Formats: sequence, structure tokens, C-alpha cells
Amino acid sequence: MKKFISILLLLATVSIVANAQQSFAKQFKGQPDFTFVTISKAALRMLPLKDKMGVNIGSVADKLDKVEIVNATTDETSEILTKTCERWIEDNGLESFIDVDEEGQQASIFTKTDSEPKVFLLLGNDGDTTAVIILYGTMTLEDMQSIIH
Amino acid sequence: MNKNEIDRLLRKYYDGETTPEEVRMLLEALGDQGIDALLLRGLNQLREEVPTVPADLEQSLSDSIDRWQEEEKREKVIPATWLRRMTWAAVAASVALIATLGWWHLRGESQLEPQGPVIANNYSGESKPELTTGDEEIVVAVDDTNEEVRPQVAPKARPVKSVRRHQAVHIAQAKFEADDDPEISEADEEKVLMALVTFSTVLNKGVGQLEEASETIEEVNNTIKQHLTIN
Repeated sequence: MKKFISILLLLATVSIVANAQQSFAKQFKGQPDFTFVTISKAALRMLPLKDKMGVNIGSVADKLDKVEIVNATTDETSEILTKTCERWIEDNGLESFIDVDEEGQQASIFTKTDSEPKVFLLLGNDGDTTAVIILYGTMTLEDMQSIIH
Repeated sequence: MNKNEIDRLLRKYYDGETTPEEVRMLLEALGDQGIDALLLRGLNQLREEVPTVPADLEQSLSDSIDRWQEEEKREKVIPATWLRRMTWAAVAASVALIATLGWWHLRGESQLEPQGPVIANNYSGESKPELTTGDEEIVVAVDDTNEEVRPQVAPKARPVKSVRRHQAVHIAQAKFEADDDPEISEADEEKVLMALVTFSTVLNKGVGQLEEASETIEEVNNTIKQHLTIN
């Protein structure tokens, strides 16, 4: 009986936790001073994302499942966005991959490559605005590097 | 009479096996020892007052023990059944609670899924002409000027009919997720491209810095080795 109840609770917890990886950008929908874009796989298929703007995204376009972009343009909203992003990163088990700090522009990349789909998150701040870009898909870091080389 | 003889007679006396002659001899011997005959008679009286054991005592005790055992068993059975019922009730309540939490959580997600044509706000929060989405179709409405408009859609979309205000027209067959902005415009396309370019740029910068750091470390190691070799 104890084993049955334990398994039951475990299954319930797993199902709830699985749903915990919800959309990050959805939290900012309709919020003032935040802009967000969420584009799904179906919508991405409608976009001719191939070799435009002088960049080669052919290796990534077919592997993208979803794109989320959130921008904050004020100091207060930037702080909120940063803290919310850090909490989301911790809740969803993303790992820090790289930090770049150049000429006052800071950017950090977090990844989760052991999930399906993979998650790549970029948190950037250029002093005026803060942006969060989240890419979901089956691409690899090498694919992402090859966009601009 | 020696001490052993006195002890023997006393044992026989306590067992009630002495003859009157032996009792007289014992009294005389104890009198010589200074033991009061009255005390001895008191002991004799106690011996006589030992209650007799009823013949059916053993049977009545056995019956009582059996009765107590049966009552004990009955008491044990009732709580166990009750406990089992409470355990099942607790399990059922737990399952119901977990199912309700899961349903409530998923309901919150699914409420965003349109059951039919719905009105969606522009993603930037501005009050622009509204765009509706459905599970199977994209529906477009006109702007406030009552002029017929053609929604900006990707070239792959089917031809669009012009519409009046608050009237819907089906322009494409595409399935969108509930939380997506359905308006696919060049601006969105550019944003996606910029996001990918930004990601790649930062990634390459970071990797470049890592490579530079690795080279620096390698140089330092070589320098240290040279110094160690010289010394």
C-alpha cells in the first residue's frame, strides 16, 4: 500500500513538474513597458528564414521549434526581467554556458541540452535595454555558431 | 530431640501429616527451645484455614480465559476494518486532490486555447486592428476606419478576402499555439532573424574569448616549463 501511494504521488509530481517548463514570455504578455514575441513552429514554417540579411540560417531554420523574445526598456523593468529570467533558469534547470562582457554590453547564454526540445537562452543588457531570447529546438551550439562565422 | 528431628517433624506438621503423638513430641521439643506453644497453635490454625480449591475451578478458569480471548479477537477485528476503510478513503482523497490540482493547472494552460475565432491583442500592447485566431484557421478583422484591408501575411498564405468591420474571413489554414502571436509580419521575421544573429554573435564572441584564454594558458604553461628546465 505504501509503495502504491508512493508511486502514485511520484507520477503526479512528475506530471506537474513536466508542465512547469511553461512559456517564459507569456508572463509578460500585456505588461506595460515590456514587449514580447512568441513564435511557434507552425508560424516559423511560414517565415522564409533562409539566407536572409546576409546570414546563413539554413542549418537552424528547420530545427527551430519556438522563439521567444522579451525586451525591457526601463531600469525598473530591466531589473524585473532579469530577476524573472534568473528564477526561470533555476526552475527549469538551465546551465550557464558562457558570459560575455564587452564595452559595457553584457550577455550570458544558458543551455539545457538534455531535454527535448533543447533550450538556449540569452540574457543580454546593453546598458539601456535588457533582452531575453529563448530558442527551443533540436539545433546544437555548433549550428548556432555557424549562423555567423 | 535434635535439630534435624525437629525440622522433620515441623515439615510433616506443615504438610498436615503428623500424628497426635508426633505433635506432642514437637510441642515438647519446641517448648524446650523456648518457642511458644501458642504460636505453634496459631500456625496450626492457619493451616486449617487454607481454603479448599473447588473441584471445577480449573474448568471455570479455562472458560473465563477462552471468553476473554474471544472478546479480544472481536475488539481487534473491528478497528482493523475501520482502519482499512479509512486508509482507502485517504488514498481516494489524495488521488482526487492530485487530479484536481493537475486539472486546475492544465485548465489554466488550456483556457488560452481558442475554441473558435477569438480576438487576440497585438503583442506589443498597442490597440491596433485586432487579429483573431482559431484552431484551424486564421481570421482577420478590419480596422476602425471601416476600410477593407488586406492583412499582411506570408506569401504562402491563401488569397485573402476583404472584410467589413467585425466580420471575419478565413485567410489561411494553419494551426497556432494558443500563446503565439498569430500576426506573421515582416517585423516578426526580422525579429527572429535578429535574435538568431545576436545569439550567434554572442556565442562566437564567447567561444573566441575562451580560445584566447586557452592560448594564454598554454603560453604561460610553456613559459613555466622553460623556466623549470633552465633551472
